[in-house]
Amino acid sequence: MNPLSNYAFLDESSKREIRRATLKAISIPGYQVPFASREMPIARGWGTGGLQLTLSLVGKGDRVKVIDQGADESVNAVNIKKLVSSTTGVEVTEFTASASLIQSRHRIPEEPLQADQILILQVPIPEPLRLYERSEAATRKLHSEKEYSGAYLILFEQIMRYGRVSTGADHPVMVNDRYVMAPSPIPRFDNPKMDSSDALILLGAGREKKIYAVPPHTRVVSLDFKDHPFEIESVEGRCCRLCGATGVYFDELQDNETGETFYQCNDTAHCLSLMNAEDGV
Amino acid sequence: MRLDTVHDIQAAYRRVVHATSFPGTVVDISEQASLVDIESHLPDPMIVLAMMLVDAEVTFYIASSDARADATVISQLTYARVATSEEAGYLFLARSGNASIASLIEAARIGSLTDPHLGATIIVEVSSLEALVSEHPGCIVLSGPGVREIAYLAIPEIDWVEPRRRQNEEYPLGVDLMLVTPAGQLASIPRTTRLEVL
Repeated sequence: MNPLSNYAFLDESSKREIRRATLKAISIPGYQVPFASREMPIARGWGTGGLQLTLSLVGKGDRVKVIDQGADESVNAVNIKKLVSSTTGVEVTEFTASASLIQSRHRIPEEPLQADQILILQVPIPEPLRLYERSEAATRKLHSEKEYSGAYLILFEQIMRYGRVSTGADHPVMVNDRYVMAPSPIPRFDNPKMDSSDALILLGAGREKKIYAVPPHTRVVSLDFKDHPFEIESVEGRCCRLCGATGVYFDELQDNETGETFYQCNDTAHCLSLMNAEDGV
Repeated sequence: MRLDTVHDIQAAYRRVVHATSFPGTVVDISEQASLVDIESHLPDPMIVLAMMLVDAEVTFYIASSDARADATVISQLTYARVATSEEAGYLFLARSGNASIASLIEAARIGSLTDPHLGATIIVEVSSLEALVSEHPGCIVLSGPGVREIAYLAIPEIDWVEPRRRQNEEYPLGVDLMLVTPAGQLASIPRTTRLEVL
């Protein structure tokens, strides 16, 4: 642990401000609470919102897991883990089940979360209406009036252009029948995991200075139309080439020599635990 | 002070996060409260919450048997500013203040439609607090986000339930409540929680 750093990097008044915003965010599900996002030792847009949430929560006895696009060992995840552990001394883990705090970019783990865990999602663009309306003052007004035609219009235009909703990730959701929310760039595959989750989900956007939350057991509905119902990405007929898993979210890879396409679990920790179980580890 | 402003406040905060995420759950901050050695007329758990939540950026209001002295203590500890009950962001209502909780809740800040997070957080001292597994006459039934189906709380003082309902009628406007016992049991009741007294 770095003795020259504040515990968990942030000073206490920064943590206090983040904590106040977090509690209000939990109290108003889906509403983006503004906060004074601090300068962090990683660049904005690299998970500073999630990181600030993690640092405001972490304490002795915690086990922290950081995922970047499903992987525990990518540069972003490793750097964030290093910062958290070097300023707090807490253990880091790859195993979803043994983590108390899970900071993630672009995925919700395959393994169902428990009530004593907190999922922290990094958010690049927290405003689901941004594509439709550039002004922050105007989008705040639209949220206040529950005026969400714009959110539906974005999806409608996709259907007009492509014949289907083309959101690859970050498909907007309605939270607790009040706020339309950007679920962060998770694939549509993960959207249903937010509905009535057993664990608290916190979302932090450092660059955009917003914190919002989905409390446990809260209704989260992906936006859709009656004649164009919400659909998750189809993973039918695919299985992981390493662990053989089916029905999970996959990375699509190509063999450079043969040109053959194959699939591999996107959630590396889940893949590893399945392989370990197979080998009796 | 024996209370560690980094680790003890963090530990208490995590319990408050849990309580707010799961309304109807009673968490325990007695360990942190027992480390408070500040003279005031507020219960020790309230001092822990004040140190966790308020600073120079927010305002607070105190109802206690000597609110003026207690407000000075909190201001000196946290640099937070005292405000009227209508303007304060954080209200600490101790039973010794004999204040009308109902009228304080009804006059508290509820935020605006564009800034609902500016609704007040009201911390109320209650004599006891117990999470029940089934209904019991006089208990409070909770439902809403964070509650799987239904949760029950036994609280002797329930005069705040009706004024809170009126104040929170126009969601997302409203006030968020925390109930705390002198021993350090704490339950959080965010504005989304629907309450019914049996």
